[in-house]
Amino acid sequence: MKLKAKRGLLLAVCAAAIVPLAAIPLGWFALTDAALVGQRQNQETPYTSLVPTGNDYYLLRQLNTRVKLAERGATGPLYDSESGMEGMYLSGATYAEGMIYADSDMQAYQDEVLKTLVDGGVLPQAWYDQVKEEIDYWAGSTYYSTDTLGFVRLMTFVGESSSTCLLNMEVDSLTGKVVALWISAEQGHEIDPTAALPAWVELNELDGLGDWSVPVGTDYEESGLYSENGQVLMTCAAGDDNYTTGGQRRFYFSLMLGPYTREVSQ
Amino acid sequence: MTASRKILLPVLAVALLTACGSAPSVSATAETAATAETAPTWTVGDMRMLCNSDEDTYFVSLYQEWEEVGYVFGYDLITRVNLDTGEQEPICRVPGCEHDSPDCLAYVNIQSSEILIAAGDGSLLIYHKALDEEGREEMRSRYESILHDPERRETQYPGLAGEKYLESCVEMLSQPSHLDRISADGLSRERLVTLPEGLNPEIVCWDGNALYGVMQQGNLDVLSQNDGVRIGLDGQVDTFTIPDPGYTSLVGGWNGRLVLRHTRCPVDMNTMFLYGNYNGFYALERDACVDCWLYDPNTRETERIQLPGESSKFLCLAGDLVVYTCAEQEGYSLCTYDLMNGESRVLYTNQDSIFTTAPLNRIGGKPRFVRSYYDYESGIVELSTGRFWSWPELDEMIDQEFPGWYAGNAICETDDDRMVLALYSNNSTETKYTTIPSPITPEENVEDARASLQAVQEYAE
Repeated sequence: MKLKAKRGLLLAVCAAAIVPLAAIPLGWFALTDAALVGQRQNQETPYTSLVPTGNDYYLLRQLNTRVKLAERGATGPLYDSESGMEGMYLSGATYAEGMIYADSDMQAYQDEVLKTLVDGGVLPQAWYDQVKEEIDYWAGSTYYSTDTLGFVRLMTFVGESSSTCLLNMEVDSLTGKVVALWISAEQGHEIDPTAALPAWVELNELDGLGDWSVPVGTDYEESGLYSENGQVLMTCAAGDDNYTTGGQRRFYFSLMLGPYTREVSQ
Repeated sequence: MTASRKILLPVLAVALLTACGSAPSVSATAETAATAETAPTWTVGDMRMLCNSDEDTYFVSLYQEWEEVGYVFGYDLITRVNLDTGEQEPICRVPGCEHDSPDCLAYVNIQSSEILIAAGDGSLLIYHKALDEEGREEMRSRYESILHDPERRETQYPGLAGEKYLESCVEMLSQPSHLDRISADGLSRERLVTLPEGLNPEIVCWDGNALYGVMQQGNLDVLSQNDGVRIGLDGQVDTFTIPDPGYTSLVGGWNGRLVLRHTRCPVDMNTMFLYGNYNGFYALERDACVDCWLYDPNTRETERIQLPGESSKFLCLAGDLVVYTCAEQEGYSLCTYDLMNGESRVLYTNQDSIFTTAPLNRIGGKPRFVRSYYDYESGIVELSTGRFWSWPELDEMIDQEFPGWYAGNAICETDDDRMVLALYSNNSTETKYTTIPSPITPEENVEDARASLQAVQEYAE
């Protein structure tokens, strides 16, 4: 027999021996699959899907850190071996005396942020017009300060040396998102938190948390939206300011976004 | 190696790899730990106020001095005041005791914070609330260093009185919070409970078996979380959570439940404070309502009572009545809400804020008066009618018997309808005690008195 024919025969013999061997696992799987089909087995570890949390959002991480530091009364170098927290935090000034006088650029920025809130359906036009009118009337001076996390506070007071605050706005400097707004005015106006709050969620790009809902059974039932995923609460409220100017009662408008870790359903 | 072997090996390898494919995996079972809190092993009993008077005795700490140094370094002695005669004597009746050293069971350091509670059987409970550990240790070491430095001691705390005072302060500051009992016969004082270090609650009420109090957690007063604390007379100490502890505090007990004061605001104002918006925080605080919650620690059920009116604020509990204030067009009203039937009533309306009221203990019964303020004047208010009694009005009732003395405080009502008054004089450091007939309106005249008071108020407005 020629050598070429011999090789062919050898290959055929090998193939004939190996193919059935290789088929054994296939057969085994087919048989076990058939045995498993129709059987029920309990999953012993619960299924967990990936859900967003507050930590997935820069703005909320910043706010969580800010509140933690403020709760510890940290207003300077911070070295704490117990919690492993090291570094430095400086809170921004909250009174005109410690703040920086805002030039026209900063005042324009303040106005731009307010208009963004109006255009976004968060701040009612009537409240915007009211505070603008009073800032003009009282010749309100605007000051600003920053903390080391990058939050900017802009405050406008009645006159030069008054402690009566017409407006207090807090903005994250990196993203330009508003985290708190306080307006005090001689005339109050209607608000609609059910419309303003979802609009604010969208404006702050927090809708991805996906579970914003009314915190039923809490003090914030009529004024708030809560995300359990984000452990965050935002409120929109108006009421009696209790401060007066020229014997006139004042009213407030408030927007607040902040960490909220306490039990919500009571 | 032959060529056939070269082919055979990869084929076998493929066969083996396919055979070693994915078999059904068995995942490890993760055991879920139950984290549910267990219900307390105790129940709230018949709650009562903390009061320092019983049948015929009023217990009070009165200032004493070792030497005539003029209200500088002295000590307090727990003293019995006989409500019938006004006579005063130290509670300590140990034969031979001079009542001038910490060995005397009536002795109290003047810097110490002691709450006296008449137990009802003639004995007296004394709760000592220690300072926080850090502050206590700082003060103790400061006093100790002066005590052991004769030159400084003589300059800052001269004489025997100064030395005794320093020794007493060091001793007091060494002690954690504790609860003692002085026996009815005044012959012994025993320590019932020593609280764990760091647990220094404010006590607000008791039920005969235990004291109940509240403890603030946190380094900022306005942002502290409040925990409930129960101190059993048998020595058992428990802490327990109360609902919404950032905005709720324990103020008393009623009908087997704990009474909580809850601040209700549409904004999370504690976070607003942390953000540094103080104008906003204080405006919200003034505008907030302070509700009354009834909480059962065993079932953890809460009944939330929203007091009527605008910016209504729960001030105190007086028997079945929640005493509160609310804002009106013409000022602020002092009102009551009856927990038994849910009825509320305005007692009087004032132009200025009404900040505080405190119930006047009535031995063996429910309080009928609260201490309050009216047009910048303090006095007592009758809960059934709203009639306000100023101190000068009460002075007129004692003037003939105690010329030169004036009524400065109402202590309690006795079970035979007398009111105990503390009397002061501009010419004496002494405090006298006497009783007058309780200025209570007879039940059959309550409606008439209410109507006439309302008419007077409307006319004045």
